[in-house]
Formats: sequence, C-alpha cells, structure tokens
Amino acid sequence: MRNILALSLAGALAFSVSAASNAAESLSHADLLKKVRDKERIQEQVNNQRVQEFVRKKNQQAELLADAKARLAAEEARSERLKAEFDENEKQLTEIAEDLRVKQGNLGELFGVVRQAANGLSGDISSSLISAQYPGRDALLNKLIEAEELPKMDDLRGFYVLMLQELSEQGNTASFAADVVNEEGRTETQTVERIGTFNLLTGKDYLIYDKGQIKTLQVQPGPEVRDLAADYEAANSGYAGLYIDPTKGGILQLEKLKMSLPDRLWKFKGFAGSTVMILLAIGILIALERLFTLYMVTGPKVASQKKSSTPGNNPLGRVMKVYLANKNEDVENLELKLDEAVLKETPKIERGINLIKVIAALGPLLGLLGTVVGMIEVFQSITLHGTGDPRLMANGISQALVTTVWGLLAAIPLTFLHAVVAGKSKNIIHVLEEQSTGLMAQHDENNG
Amino acid sequence: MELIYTILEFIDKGGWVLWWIGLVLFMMWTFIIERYWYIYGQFPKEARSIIARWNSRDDQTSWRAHQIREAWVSVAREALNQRMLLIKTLIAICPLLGLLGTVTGMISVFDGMSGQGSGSARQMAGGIFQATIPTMAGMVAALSGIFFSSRLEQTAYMKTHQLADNLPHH
Repeated sequence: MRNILALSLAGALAFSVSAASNAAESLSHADLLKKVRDKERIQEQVNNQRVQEFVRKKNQQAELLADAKARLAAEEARSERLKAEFDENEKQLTEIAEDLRVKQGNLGELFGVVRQAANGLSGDISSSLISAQYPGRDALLNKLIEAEELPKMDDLRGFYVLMLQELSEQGNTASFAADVVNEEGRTETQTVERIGTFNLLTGKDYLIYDKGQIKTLQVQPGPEVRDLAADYEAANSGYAGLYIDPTKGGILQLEKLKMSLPDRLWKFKGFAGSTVMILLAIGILIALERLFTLYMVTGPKVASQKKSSTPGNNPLGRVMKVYLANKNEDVENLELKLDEAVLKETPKIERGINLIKVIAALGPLLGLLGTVVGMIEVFQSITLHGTGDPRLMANGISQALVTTVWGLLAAIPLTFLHAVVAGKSKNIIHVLEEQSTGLMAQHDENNG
Repeated sequence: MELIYTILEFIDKGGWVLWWIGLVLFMMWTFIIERYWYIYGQFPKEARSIIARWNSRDDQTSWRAHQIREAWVSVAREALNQRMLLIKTLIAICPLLGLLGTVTGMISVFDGMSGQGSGSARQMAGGIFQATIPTMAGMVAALSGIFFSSRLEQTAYMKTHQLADNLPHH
C-alpha cells in the first residue's frame, strides 16, 4: 500500500518536473540558473539545519548516558554500603547470640532438667491417687514438658510445690468430697477417704483411680478386708487396722480376675471331678440311710430288747427266738443254731458300710488321676506348641489340681461318716455275737 | 494373749483349712482325754463291781454262767473301746485336710502366677511355703494323736484281759 503510494507520489513529481520544464522552456537560462542556485542554497540551509539538529540530539543522548552512568554508580555504591551494613549486623547478631548462650549458661541446663523431671513426674502424678483429691495437677506439668522456651519462675515454683505436695500427701490420709462413678456408670458425689497413695475408700467400698476418674471397684475384695475398711472408717481416734494395696490398685484390679474356690471347683471339675461328685453323693446317701437305720431303728430296738425277755421283731429279738425255741437241746446244737441266727442278721446291719469306705478311698485316687491327666495335657500342649510361657503352664496346673481337691473333699467327710457308721454297726454286731447268749442266760436266771 | 496372736498369725498364713485341722484336733483330743478319764478314772470302779458281782454268784461253772461272764467281759471291752475308731479316723483325716489345704494353696499360687504372668521363682517359693503349712500342721496334728491312741488301744486290751483274768471260772 505504502509502495503504491510512493510510486504515485513519484509519478506526480515527474509530471510536475516535466510540467515545470515545459514552463521553463519559456523561462530564460539565467532565471533557471538563478532558480537552481536559490534552490541549492535552500537545500544547503535545510541540510545545515538537519545537521545541527542531529548534533543537538547527539549531545542530548550523551548527556542521558552520562546521567545513567552516574545513577548506576550511585546505586552500586549504595549496594556496597548496604552489604557492608548487613555483614556488620550479622556479626553483631552472632556476637549477641553467643553472649546470650554464655549468659544463659547453667540456666539452659536447668531447662533440660526441668523438662526431664516434669516428664518423669507426669506419669506418677497422672496415676497418683493424690490427683484424685486435687484434680488438674497435670496441666502445669504438660506446660513444662511442651514449653519451647525457658520456664517462667512461677512455673518452676509451682513445679516444686507440686513435688512437695506429692511427697507430703503420700504420708497422709485425707477425706474429701469427689465425684465417684459407681457400678452402674452413674456419677455421684461422695465422701472419699484417701490412704496415702495406696487406696481410696468410700464406706467399705474400695475405689480405683483411672484416667482422671474415681470409679467403684467392680469386684470388691473379701468380707474380712471390707469389714476392716468399715471399722477404719468408723474409727475416730487412735489406730485402726486396714488392708492397703501397695501396688496402688494393681492387686485390687486382680480381684476381678480371681475366681473363688467354689467357682473354680465347679468350673474345672472335669470328668474326674464329676465322677467323684457322683460317688460323694452316693456315699452320703448310703451313710445317711445307715445313720438313720442304725441310730433310729435298729439301735434303739436292740437296746430296749436287751432289757426285755420277750423277743420282739428286731435282730436281737430274732436271735432270742431261736434261743427260746432250742433252749432244751444240747449245748453244742444250741450254739450252732445261735451262730446261724447271728450270721443271718449281720449282713443287714453291715450292708453298705464297706461301700462308704471304698468310695472314700476312691475319691483321692480319682482326684489324683484327674490331676495327672490334666498335667499330661498341659505338658503335652507345651511340648507341641513350644511356648515357654509360665502363665500358660501355671494356669494349666492350677486347673489340673482342682480334681485332687474334689477327691479330698469327697474323702474327708466319707471317712468320717464311715467311722461313725462302722462304730455303731460294730456295736450292734457285738451285742449279737458276744452278748446275746449271755443276755438270754441272764433273763432265764432272773425269771427263775 | 501372746500365744493366741501367734496361733492366729499362723492360721492366717496357712489359710482356712487350718481352722478345720484345729477343729479335728480339738475333737480328737477331747475324745482322747475322755478315754483316759474313763479308763483310769471310771473303769476300775466298774471292773470292781463286775468282779464283786461275779464272786457273789453261786453258779460259776455252768455253760450259762460262762455265757454270762463272756457277755460281761464283752460289755466292758466295748465300753473301753468306745470312740476308739473315731479317734483313729480323726487322726487319719488330719493329713487329708492338710493335703487339701496344700492343694488349694497350690491352686492359688499357680493361679496368681497365671494372672500376673510372672515366673518369679521367689514369689512362687513364697506361695508354696505358705501352701505347705497345712500339710505340716496336719502331720503334726496326726502325730500328736497317733502315740496316745495306740497307747489307749493297748491299755484297753490289757484292761479287758485283766478283767477276764479276775473273773475265774472253773
């Protein structure tokens, strides 16, 4: 587009030149020369003007350059100055830090010690029963443990007061009101008695302190322990005995796991225990039947028969009848008949007594069998699984021993009952065997 | 007082079985003392009266008289031997009770071990020491009775024979 414009412009110029030359045809040569010279002069003037313009601009640029250079130099100088200043400051900072470190000296060590001590104490304090009485004591400790800077004097003071409190309260018993979570999970305020760092009591209940909460121990220790606690609570002066838990709750917690002997006997009876139980029941039934028969029926009957000469329906009476029937036969014959009569009576009196004895003897043997079988199982499982866990072994052995207890529990009363029953039956049999003839002879004599 | 405390402490260490052993021991010794009282205090009088009755009889030789004599001796023997079986049984029960105490003690020792999971030999030894106390007590109780019961038996046997010898028959 611009080219087209330039071309058309050039065309116009050429046309004007040819038009001028056409016009100049009419002008004189002198005029033409004059005109040319004029034009040349004007041209020169214009050129001069332009050169001057250029020179002026050139000077202006130089001036600008100089100016920029000057500015650069100034900035560079400033940068230099600032860098020096920075270095200076840095140096000063290091010096100050060093100064701080030197001045902090022992205090820095103290910081570490405080932190360590607070850490160590934190576990004790959070589980200590004294915290049950003074809740929120671990806040200060946590602050000391997590602090990034030197502890404040107030905190340090609070810390050692805390330590002293823990020390002195350990030797005290105290009574205070606190929220207690009872067995149903409800919270109620109760008067709690604290014994050193060992136990918390309310009434005769033992409490435990767990994660900032006072809870009633779900399985309380035995009555002898609790009665003593009640006595302690009731005591106003002097000394009172009390069971304390030196493990600060550990033993009390074990109460939950502990099983009473009857529970244990029932749970781990095994086949031997069951057998012994059945045998014991049979033995006791036999013994009761024998006791009733010998002490209530046969015994009194024989005793009254001793005094009377008319034979009744009882062992001695039946022997007497035989005597009366054969009274007039010769002595040897009579004795034979009497022996026969006595022999008939004895089995009825002695019945079952030996069975009691056999069961009493069987009890411990069966119990021992159960224990040995249990032990074999325990050791076999240890051999197979190869655990050296004393817990497992101890548990197995304590279970295995239960059957021995069953055996002994059966043997002891049955031995005793056997002695009682056997004594009585022997008594009656003596009457029949040794005294019956004499008694009858006596009656005969008395009657004439 | 001091003695009672010592005994209570001992019982506390040994466990509840010791009360039973104590009861059995008490019964046993009551019977033993009663026997001594009877044999040395009462029986001579009874023996004398039997002898006098026998001597006053006209008939000491017939079969009937022999039977009567035998019956009298038998009654006397029975009186002498009364409760002797019971004493012997109580003596036999003592070690059984002791064993019971030891076994229950052992159960609690092993149960404690399984609960705490410690295989501490020291702790176990302490438990077993306590568990063996009932056996020891049972043994001592039985031994204390055994000598006297066998003496009593012997004496009763002798007394019976002496009585029989003192009832002469022709």
